[in-house]
Amino acid sequence: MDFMLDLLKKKSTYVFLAATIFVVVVPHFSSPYVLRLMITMASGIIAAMCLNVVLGYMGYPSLCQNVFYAVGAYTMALATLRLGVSPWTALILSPIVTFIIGYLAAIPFLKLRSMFFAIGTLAFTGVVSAILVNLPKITGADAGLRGIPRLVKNDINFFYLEIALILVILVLTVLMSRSFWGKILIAIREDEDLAPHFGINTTRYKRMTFAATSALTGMAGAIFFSYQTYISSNYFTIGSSFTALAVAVVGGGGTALGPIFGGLVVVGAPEVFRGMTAGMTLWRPSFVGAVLVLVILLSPGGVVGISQKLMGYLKKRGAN
Amino acid sequence: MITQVILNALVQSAILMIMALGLTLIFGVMKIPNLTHGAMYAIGAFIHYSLIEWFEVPFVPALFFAALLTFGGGAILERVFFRKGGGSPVVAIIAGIGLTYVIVNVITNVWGAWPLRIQTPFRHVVRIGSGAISSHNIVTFTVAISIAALLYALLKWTKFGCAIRAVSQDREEASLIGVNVNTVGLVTFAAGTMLASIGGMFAAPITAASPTMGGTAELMGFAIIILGGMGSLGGAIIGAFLLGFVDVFVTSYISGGWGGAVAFVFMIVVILIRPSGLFGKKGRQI
Repeated sequence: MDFMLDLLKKKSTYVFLAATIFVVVVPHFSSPYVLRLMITMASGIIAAMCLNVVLGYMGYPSLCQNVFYAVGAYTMALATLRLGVSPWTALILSPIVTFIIGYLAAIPFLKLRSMFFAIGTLAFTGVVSAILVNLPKITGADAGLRGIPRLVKNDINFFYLEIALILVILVLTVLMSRSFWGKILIAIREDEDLAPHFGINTTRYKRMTFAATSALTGMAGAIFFSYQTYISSNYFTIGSSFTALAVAVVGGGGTALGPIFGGLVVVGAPEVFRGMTAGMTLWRPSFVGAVLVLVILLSPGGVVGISQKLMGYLKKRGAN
Repeated sequence: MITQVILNALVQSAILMIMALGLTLIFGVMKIPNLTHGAMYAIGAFIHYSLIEWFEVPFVPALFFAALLTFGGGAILERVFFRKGGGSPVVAIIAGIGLTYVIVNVITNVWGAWPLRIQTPFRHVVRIGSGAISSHNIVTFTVAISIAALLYALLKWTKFGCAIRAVSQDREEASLIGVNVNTVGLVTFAAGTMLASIGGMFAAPITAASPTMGGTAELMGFAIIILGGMGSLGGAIIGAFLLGFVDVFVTSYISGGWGGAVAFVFMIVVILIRPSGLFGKKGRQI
């Protein structure tokens, strides 16, 4: 009973309850357009949450998150369309394939540090997007592949599927950050040259983390493109590789909930501006860019950082 | 065919070199990757275009004018946005992405999304063996080499160049011996941006100017400076010629779509063997 009362006193309980109600109830009452937006947002959030582990805990700003998104998605598309596998088998297959690709990519790229790593992975995205465009017989290139079978019939169930994956990743992130593994990642972020002196095999942890987060990203790609039933190389350009990083950083790097807020801002902002500035559709990208610049320069801690600052300020005023 | 391909590769490499020099200069001093470089490459070409078409300035004076304008633009970018980032590469990357959205959007709205061709006064075609090269390309190549030489001389023999080298080696030490680190950063960033826009101005008559023309060029620029060693001028020059040749040769002999990809794979292989690039050394940059 005391335990329940404690829960009732905590603010986070109410936040959690509100979020649950929102997630369960809202999709049933929203228009197809809003539902589609929410599904897109959720898949962006998954990619960013995976990146958040690599960036926020390990300190590696990866710009090839959408490569793994693409690998997972194309595994789904090719396995179902070309091999005739059922979509649920393909959903299990896609993280396995992405894990292998992620591990192989980790071997060369994790030798680079900080922005060298960022630019190296950006070049990797360039290579992969060129492969997608230049092999039309396999990937369908610009014209794309149509008729990817859906995992579940209803759009709302796709949303729940993604929310389930978000929860799994959230729990895994929190567990990881409290475990020995998380401590090692933070040690790598703070001083990678010092960490091996404590007998930590940094290379192994780095590669495993990178591959595991890639695998989950690949799964998100598989779900999203099964929802969309259509895939083309246009979704995986070099420009789109920045989105995941923007979501992770704008939300607040190194916090478990950051990417969720980041997704709301980065993926949601364009849609808000679509509604607000009906006569100025042409200038929409400028607004999005301005939001990114403002958030990052005003608060390097992202949206979470801003809200913490704000709460601290309000508390101070309350005390006075 | 081989003569023609080599001539094309030389011109392509020269344009890449102008841009990569700017990138490596900014990286050396500020230690951040400048993701607005591609956008400034494009805006240089468009300002040049408007000076010629709207204000009827001749080609060459317009070039100098546009370069000055982008120098000012770069100074504003550094003062207003990048200095606030405090040298954090992740902040610089996100701010760069946001600014690129804005700049590319402004270009699209002001000049339109369709490619524009700038008429160059250098239209004479010179035949060399079995190949042909337009005099615009010869001018481009000459300008690129002169810029590299001029930059080397400025860095080597002027007091301000010495200050730039000092800051790129050790920011704190440099400020201790009385170098105004902020001014050096401002001027370097502005100069680097100006180099990007000069690259765009010379590329536009060859490839036509479009709002997104900077994206691929920027990525190639980063590949070049990673290959050459970030912050190294000589590395940027060698890297530009290596990747420019790989790009043009693959494009000419295999297929148009694979040029950039093979160049990136080449860069990835090199950094696997030497993670600091061909000429990158710890502690000594520019």
